[in-house]
Amino acid sequence: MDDLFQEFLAETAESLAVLDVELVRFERETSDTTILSNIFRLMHTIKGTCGFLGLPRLGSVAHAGENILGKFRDGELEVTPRAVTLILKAIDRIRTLLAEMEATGAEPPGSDEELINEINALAADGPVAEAPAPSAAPVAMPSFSDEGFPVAAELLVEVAEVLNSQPAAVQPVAAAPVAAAPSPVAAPAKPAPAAAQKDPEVKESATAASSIRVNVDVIENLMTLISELVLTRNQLLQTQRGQKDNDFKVPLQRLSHITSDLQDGVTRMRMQPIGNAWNKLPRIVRDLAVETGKKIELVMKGAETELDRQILEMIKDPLTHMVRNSADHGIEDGAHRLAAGKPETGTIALDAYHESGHIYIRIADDGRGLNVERIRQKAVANGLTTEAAIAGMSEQQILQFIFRPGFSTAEVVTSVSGRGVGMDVVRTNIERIGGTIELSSVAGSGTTVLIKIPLTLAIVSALIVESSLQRFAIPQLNVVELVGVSDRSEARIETVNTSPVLRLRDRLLPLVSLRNALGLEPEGTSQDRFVIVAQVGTNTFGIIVDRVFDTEEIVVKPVAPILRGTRFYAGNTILGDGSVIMILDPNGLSNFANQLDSTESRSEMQDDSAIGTAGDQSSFLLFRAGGEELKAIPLELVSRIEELPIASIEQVGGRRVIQYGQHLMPLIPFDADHEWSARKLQRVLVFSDNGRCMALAVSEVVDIVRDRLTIELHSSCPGLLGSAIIAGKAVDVVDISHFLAQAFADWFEIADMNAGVRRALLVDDSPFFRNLIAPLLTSANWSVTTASDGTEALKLREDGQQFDVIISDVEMPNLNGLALAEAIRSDTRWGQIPLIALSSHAKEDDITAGREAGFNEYLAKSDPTRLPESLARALRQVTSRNEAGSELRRAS
Amino acid sequence: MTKSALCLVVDDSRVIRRVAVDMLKDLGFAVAEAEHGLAAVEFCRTRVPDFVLLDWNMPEMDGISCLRKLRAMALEPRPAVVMCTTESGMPKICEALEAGADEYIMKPYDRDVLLDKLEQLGLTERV
Amino acid sequence: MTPDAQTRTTAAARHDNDAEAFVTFTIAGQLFGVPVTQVQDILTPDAVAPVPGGPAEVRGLINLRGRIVTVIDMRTRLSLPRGEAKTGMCVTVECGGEPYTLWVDSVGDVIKLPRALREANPATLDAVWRDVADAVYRTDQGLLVALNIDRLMAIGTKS
Repeated sequence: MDDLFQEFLAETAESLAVLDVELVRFERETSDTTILSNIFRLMHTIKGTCGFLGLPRLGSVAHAGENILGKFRDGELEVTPRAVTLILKAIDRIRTLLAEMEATGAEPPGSDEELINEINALAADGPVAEAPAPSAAPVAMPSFSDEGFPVAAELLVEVAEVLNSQPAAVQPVAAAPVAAAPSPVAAPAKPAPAAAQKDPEVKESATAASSIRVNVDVIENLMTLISELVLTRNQLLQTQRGQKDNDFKVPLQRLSHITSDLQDGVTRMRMQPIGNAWNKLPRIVRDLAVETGKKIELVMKGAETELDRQILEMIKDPLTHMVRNSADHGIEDGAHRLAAGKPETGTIALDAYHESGHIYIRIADDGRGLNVERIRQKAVANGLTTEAAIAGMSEQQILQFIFRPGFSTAEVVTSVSGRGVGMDVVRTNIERIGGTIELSSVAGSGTTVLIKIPLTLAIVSALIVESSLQRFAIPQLNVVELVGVSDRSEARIETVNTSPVLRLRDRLLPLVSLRNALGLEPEGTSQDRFVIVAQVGTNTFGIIVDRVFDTEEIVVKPVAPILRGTRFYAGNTILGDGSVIMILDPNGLSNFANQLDSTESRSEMQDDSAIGTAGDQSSFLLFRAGGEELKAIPLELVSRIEELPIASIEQVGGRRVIQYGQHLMPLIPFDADHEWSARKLQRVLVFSDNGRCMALAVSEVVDIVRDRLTIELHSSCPGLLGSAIIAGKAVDVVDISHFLAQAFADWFEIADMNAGVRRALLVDDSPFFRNLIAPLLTSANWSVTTASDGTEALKLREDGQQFDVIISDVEMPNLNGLALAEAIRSDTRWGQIPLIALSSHAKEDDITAGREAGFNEYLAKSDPTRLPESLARALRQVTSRNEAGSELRRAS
Repeated sequence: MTKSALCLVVDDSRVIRRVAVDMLKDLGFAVAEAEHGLAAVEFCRTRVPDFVLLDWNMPEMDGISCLRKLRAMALEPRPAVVMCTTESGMPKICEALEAGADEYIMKPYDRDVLLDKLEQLGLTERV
Repeated sequence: MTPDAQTRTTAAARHDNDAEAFVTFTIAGQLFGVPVTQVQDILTPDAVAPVPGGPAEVRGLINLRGRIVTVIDMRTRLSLPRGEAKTGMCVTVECGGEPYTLWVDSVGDVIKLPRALREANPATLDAVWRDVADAVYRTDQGLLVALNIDRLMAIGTKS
């Protein structure tokens, strides 16, 4: 197969791609003559080249297409969807033929009669049918210039002869297939790119001759060589740095500059506009619209945004998939849209832009949005979750199920976009290149997908660190600062809820120990280590390592497929000394940090500390929010203190949310009058539980103090438990459960109870406590009955009432808690029900007594701010134990 | 040794340009290429070819407009222009000649046809 | 081997299209082979960088003339007990465009094995081996298991 043939295949393929896009454009803007002449010219050229290369079959199809286009141009044929579809069919046919030709090296035998006849039939049926034959009647003779046209007369005679002998339709292909064939063979078979043959002057002046075609492998090799050059340059610079001024310094600097320029140049070589991945989309959307009878417009913005060729390849399919989804399942048909008050034509908008080292691609449609209810049903039906679990989830969380493998919400398996599955594959593909994908949807208004991917896979700056004698690289882009931690340093590693945190100035950063995350040997006793303060999106956290070395420029090489499952690595690289090291993925470490935060802090150990610290000093966070008064909250409840960019706060369904790691976190103001920060950042306190987070907007974090809490309770203000004197200041003590309830109606979700209604009996002689605790239980979907002392409680037993849990005060008149517990345990009616004790006294002896009396859990009343949490935990534990117990009993 | 005549091949298809270039080189000509009329005009500002093989349908500036422009530029010495296209209706041919074309060649052509035209124009030179 | 069989073997081996050349190596006393056309090189490994958190079969990564190559621990891959020896040899192959090097106990000669000696995997062959073996050959050094690189590298996707 010779080069000319290859060139033909390439050029024609390019033309077909442009034809697709332009034809779809033209269909919408039929009055645009520029587009039409462009299309016509392309088809015409294809026909022409077929003649030269002796490809009659291909030429016939191109000719048929050109025929219709010619009629469009001459106004003889109306531009109808049917006509356009036929031309598109012709384009597809040519593509198919090209593919076969590429494989076999010759035009496949056969005829396209059917298609051509169909096309010609349509052309003939045009409103103004005209015989295509050029008349052989005499035409006015041209006027000759003074100089004359020496052979014009002979030329005319020749032409007339040809016209008289041939039928009306032009048949260039039939005329000279044989004649044309020998010519390419006779031509020298030099593979030099076109540029080389040009006269240099032409190259400068001809605007079109500004690009050449280069084989992809050649570029890849060049890239690798340049990368090696960069690394060698670095080594040289390093070596030279140690020496005093010498003869090498100046030339080396020059070499260094040149190398940097080369590096930039080559990186640019790999960049391609994202439009290249989009160019098939207009056609796809158009065909989908025609097939489904919908009206859909595809708007593409930022097609010139450039990204690395390799990345482009990897996102091509995901993008296509999502656009198909929008067109097929998202956009409603015209009637529905009009009924909903929307314009009849649905819009799918693609938007691509650069921002801080990443590429953002947004795909938004104004269709019907995702059906949260259907997703909910499907998630449960497919066993991905349970009714109870999903009952507590927010819309955003439910939407995430779409990313699970094997999930589908399409009502009908359409031939167009399949089951609508593959979002899990889409996400995997995007995460594989270090990107993220977010989904948001408003029922009735539409769906938006936002993809964020790294700009390039080439060379990055990285910090080299060491843990357990192994070195790793962390992309400099994610490193905010380095903090040395030791016994003597100001910065300290503390423990909050059993997770390590770093108190850094006024922030609390969650920490991840690299040794821990990677399963290396655990830390020794030495306190000297380093914390890398890292940032991923809005998430800031610290990575504990043993040592920190330099920052180096490294070539990021993707990990081998076999290692792709490990979530902590973004790639690997070869350092200047030849050693291979892994490149850490801050994303993966950040997720790990989030996990630790919520699960580990809820361990069994916590119970003991909750009871044991009653009456002791604890740490409080003092802050201001909604007014001048100081507010306080136990530090242990606070997961993080963050400053979130206002610009990133979005409104979804009337609530403010912000992207926080993998989740959309609700943002709750302290009160309705809250003025959102006029500056760029909003300070928030983050609370997290079981993987969910909420942020409480505050205006100022004042201090962290240690003191005993003596609280004077009142419930006049929602959100406040009461007031207290802490560290000599009068403060309002915040009722965090109020805000948690706002963020998540089911914050105290009690997992995995698939029994129907759960009933709780609350026994307490203090109306205040009954009023405090009962609503907590109710908001967690418990049905609550109250009793004011043990006697009343037992009366309920006589009445035959049953409960799933009994929560009781210990210090009560008539029948105190301990006696009640004994009474309950001595009888079979309530004998198995979990008992939780609430007591003002929580010393060791008390707890032991309580347990002996029959209580399963013992909670301290004296710190009411911690009560919701500890109660929730206790409830979870006793009920799950109970579940387990009854399982065992059922099994035996 | 007589200098080879310079031919400027103007066509938007690089495949066709290549075919033409190969033929012309084989016939002993020096060749330059341009992708469309505008590029051809620019080329002629700095160097006047002996003849131009000019396609009709091109982006930026089509063949006829290019031809008119070239003639208006009154280049010295006047290059011969051969228009090539697949359309053969009389109106087209007349338009070409009126605009200043010297010869007319139909696509696809082969080496012999091309040679024939060039001989008629007195352009052939054997190096 | 009987003289007759020997003659047959030699005669058969004379015709190249009746024989295939294998790079042989030993793991835990068992002889294995990979077609020589698939082997890129053989090397003495130096400085293998472990991958914490990676699959057990991946011993680590090495720098091979500027390319990062994954080292597959063959004993782990073939469910053989981990040996005590700290040293070994590596046989570099390519799969799916990605280079891998197989850490084995020792590398033997390149031998030509006539097709006549080729047999299907015996039923007694270990399940894991059966999955990654194309065939076995009866050689004068013992049974040689001919490995299929594609299936060998399908780690984690075993059926």
